[in-house]
Amino acid sequence: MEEILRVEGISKTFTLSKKQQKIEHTHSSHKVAVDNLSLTAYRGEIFGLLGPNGAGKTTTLRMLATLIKPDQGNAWVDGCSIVSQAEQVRSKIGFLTSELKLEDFFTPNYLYNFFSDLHGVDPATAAARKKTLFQRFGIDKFAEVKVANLSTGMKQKVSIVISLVHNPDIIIFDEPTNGLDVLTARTVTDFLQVLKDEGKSIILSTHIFSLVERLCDRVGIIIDGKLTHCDTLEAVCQGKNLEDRFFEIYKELKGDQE
Amino acid sequence: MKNNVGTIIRKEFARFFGDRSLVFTSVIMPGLLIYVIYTLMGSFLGDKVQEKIAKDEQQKTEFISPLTADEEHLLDSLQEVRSTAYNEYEANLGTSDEDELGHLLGNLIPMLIIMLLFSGSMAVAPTAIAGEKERGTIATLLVTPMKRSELALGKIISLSCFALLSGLSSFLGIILSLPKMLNIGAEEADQLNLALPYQTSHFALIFLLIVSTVLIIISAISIFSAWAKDVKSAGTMITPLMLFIMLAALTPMIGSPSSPLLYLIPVYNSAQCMASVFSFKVELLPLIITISANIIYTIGAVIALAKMFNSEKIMFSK
Ligand SMILES: Nc1ncnc2c1ncn2[C@@H]1O[C@H](COP(=O)(O)OP(=O)(O)OP(=O)(O)O)[C@@H](O)[C@H]1O
Ligand SMILES: [Mg+2]
Repeated sequence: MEEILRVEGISKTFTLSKKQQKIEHTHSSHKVAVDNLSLTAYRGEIFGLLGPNGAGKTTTLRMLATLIKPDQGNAWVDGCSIVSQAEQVRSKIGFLTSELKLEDFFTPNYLYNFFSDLHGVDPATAAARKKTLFQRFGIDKFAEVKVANLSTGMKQKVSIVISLVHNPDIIIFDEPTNGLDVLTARTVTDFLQVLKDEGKSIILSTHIFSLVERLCDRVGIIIDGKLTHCDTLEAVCQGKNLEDRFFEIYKELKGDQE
Repeated sequence: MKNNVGTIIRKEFARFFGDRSLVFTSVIMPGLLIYVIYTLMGSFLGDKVQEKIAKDEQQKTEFISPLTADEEHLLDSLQEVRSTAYNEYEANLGTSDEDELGHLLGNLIPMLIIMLLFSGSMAVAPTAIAGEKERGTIATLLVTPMKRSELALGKIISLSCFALLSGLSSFLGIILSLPKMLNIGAEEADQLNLALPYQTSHFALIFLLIVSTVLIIISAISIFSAWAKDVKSAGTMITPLMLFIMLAALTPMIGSPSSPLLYLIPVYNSAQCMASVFSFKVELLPLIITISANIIYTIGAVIALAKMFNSEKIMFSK
């Protein structure tokens, strides 16, 4: 098995403003969002990062995508360091998270071409790829409709397609089915399977157990910024279903404290 | 190398020109508004100019009318003497007019130009930077392998073009309404042009100064906008900058700088140089200092903006 992603002891602490302290119901001015997290993902597999709200999933993936820097530790995406080779990392990955928005004013068609240009994809390749991706997600009918006038589901589909303009080998998706109806969610998960079959490596975060069970080869459980378990789905589940196993783990961890 | 700066500029142009209301409010309206306001103002202000012209006419007839009452044999010689005197008077009148008008324009027009460039910049820059940050669209750009400096440069170049267009529109508004404002006809406007011998080189200098001023103003507003978390707070943060720019634009009324080093102060330097061009007192050294200082500041601003785009504290703070 070839390593595609190696994370070694990354940590991230945020400084909280007074306003945030109120929102988070805390008096401490710092929040450890990710705490000394290490994991390995392999080529051609789907890795699922599973955790409750506020566990640190998005923060972890943002560090991998080089949007934010870890306070400690390092990670290598296909051999490139997220700390010292950010640009190379960005050209290797397709990243999707809800904070990445598309400009309302433009059409999917325009945005696709624009991001293809930024990624340096040659126009002929870009056009062919656009055609297949737009068809697969049913975007072709909306190709000339401004993003502002698209439905939530269609926006998410366009976001997915835009994140893949450069045909990346490594795909990092943060809760890709969030806010989507079952039909649209299904289109997305089916597509992830297709990508896997094409030999892509996928890292995704979610709090939906069934998604992990259906798609993932390997799973990491993250609670309060710490990775408590990280192994193949079978090894983590120990013969139980994932949901029961998760609550067991959660109780083990939290039971001691409360 | 991929031309990412060009890609960004093309996108910004498509955004700007694709949005009719944006083009209307930032390009068409300023010129139109100025034209209408100045034309209206002209009907009041113009009376004063008419009074002055009437007074001049009166003086002219005072010189000439006594001649008709003179003795026949004295007429020729006297007329000769008097008309020489009158010619001298008129010549003096001419130069003093030129000085006065040049002085007035020299003080007023730089202020107008700078204020118009500032308002043009405010119409385009905060939405393009703080707005993109607020809406989360800049994050989408930041996950591409594009260099932050390319994004910064692309933004500053395209925004400067829009601010320049907006400034140009206001400028046209002024030029077209100027004859109306002074309440004079086309013939007299031609005479005014003769009285103020601006040459192509003057306009070229003014254009250079305008471009370098736009770059400086857009740079400053862009940096504040990148710092702010949304368009609204960008507006608040820019208020002190606006005061500084207004004061700097007003300084030609007070006087010109005592030391060439003062031409290192942005906006102040542009205002002073524009004033010197309009009042025919162009000096090379201040001009060179001004334009090169402005260009160096703009390069500094592009670097600073790129650093800001790269800073998670600035781009992703909650
Ligand atoms: N920029 C920030 N400033 C301050 N605190 C932050 C920031 N980003 C995240 N946090 C905090 O860090 C913790 C982890 O957040 P994160 O978004 O990574 O969780 P998550 O697992 O993605 O949760 P969710 O399921 O809600 O998306 C949370 O307590 C969050 O409030
Ligand atoms: Mg999240």
